[in-house]
Amino acid sequence: MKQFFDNEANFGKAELRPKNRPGRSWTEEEQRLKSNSDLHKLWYVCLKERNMLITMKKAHISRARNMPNPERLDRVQESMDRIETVVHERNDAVFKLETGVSAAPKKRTTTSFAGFTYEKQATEHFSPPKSGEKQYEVPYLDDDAYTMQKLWPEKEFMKNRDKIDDEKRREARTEDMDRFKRGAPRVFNR
Amino acid sequence: MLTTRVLRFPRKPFVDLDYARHMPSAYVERTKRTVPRKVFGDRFGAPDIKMYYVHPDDYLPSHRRPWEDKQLSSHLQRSDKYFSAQLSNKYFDIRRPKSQRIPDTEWTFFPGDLVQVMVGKDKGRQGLILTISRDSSEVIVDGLHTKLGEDMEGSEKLGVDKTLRWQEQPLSVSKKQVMLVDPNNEQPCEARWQINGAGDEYIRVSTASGYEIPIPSQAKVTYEYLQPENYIEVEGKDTPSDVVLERTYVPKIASFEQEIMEEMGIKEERIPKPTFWY
Repeated sequence: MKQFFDNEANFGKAELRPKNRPGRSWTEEEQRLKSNSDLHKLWYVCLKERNMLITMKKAHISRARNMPNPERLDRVQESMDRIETVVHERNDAVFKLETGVSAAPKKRTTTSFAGFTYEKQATEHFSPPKSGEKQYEVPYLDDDAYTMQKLWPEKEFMKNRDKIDDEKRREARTEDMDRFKRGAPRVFNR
Repeated sequence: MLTTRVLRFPRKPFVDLDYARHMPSAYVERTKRTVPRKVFGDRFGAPDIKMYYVHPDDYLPSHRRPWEDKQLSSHLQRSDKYFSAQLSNKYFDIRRPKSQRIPDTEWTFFPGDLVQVMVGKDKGRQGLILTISRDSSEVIVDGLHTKLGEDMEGSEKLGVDKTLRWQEQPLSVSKKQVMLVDPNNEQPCEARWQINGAGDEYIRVSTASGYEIPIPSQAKVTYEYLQPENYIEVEGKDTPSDVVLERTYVPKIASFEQEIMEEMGIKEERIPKPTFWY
């Protein structure tokens, strides 16, 4: 139970003393030196620390105080994210060697009703897809999607053109114009 | 072959000489309020719409650390104002960064450096850099280029006497308002990064005379320590450095999960049925 709470020396502090202030997060280079079982242990050490910090954060919020050194939470989260990437790297290497397939979640290229073709994460199913369930990349768009795809770049082009115009107008402004409050027309942002 | 060449190339230590070096970037961005308030994603292939607290291009850099109380409250106020301006459809300046950021590899100014002020009332005087601001490419020089300013704003309202103090004003590096001092002839000079004679380290040299301008120890100060070797390890929280650098990884043809199962004595003999990804 006590493991859910911080060291009592840290209670009521605005900022922790260097003696009680934990250091930086684990880097990926350091984690690559560690065996899988070490990383597994490190994950649970980080998880316990994160639980403790979330408890302390809640306790501080309920008393309307600021938690000392809230970046500790981000530090632990950073370490945990990096463990995930390192484990993924290792699994990926093994999977590619053994099966030729990456360990990363599978992607599908689909075309949406608006005509955009993009990568989307596929989901796992027990049964093969029924007709119409599986999404595909479509080379020929229907009328609406086709119009959308024609209009979209046009709109982007016009936005960019306006941006360049604004930039030019701003550059043309002189100090005197600002000083005497006259000159270049005012343009609303949107 | 190419990869080994790249790996043997000397590391560039100057890129990560920073007070916030070990601060988690997510935390720093959050205190700066340059994170999205809401992301409208999953738009059937169209790019996400991001509503920012304060757009990164609109961020006002400062010489104070973004996580300090005073700076944090000013950021909060600013993001509120920003949001209300957006809601009420008022005119506000189109966002653009206030100044071009000098690339890390070309930045040569560090806290503790001897520099010469090139403009203003202290033109030609030399002093040590107190702080640098990478976002605005400005430095503050100790005791030079000062302005008489109020120590505490609004102190008279609180019934405290007004106190005036000489406040150092930032000097721009990109406009060459400050220049490094050449150790050879003590004249202002420009500097660049160059590989040293042994070829294992980058050093900062004056472009005029080629003399090395050593990096001051103050440049290595971070939030965690003044000098890396003087860092106080927290018992029970920090892992000692020799334990961290010990190599325990032995490559094996087994996935992470398989290795952990083997270690814990979990035996799995069921064969998963084929699944379909779509």
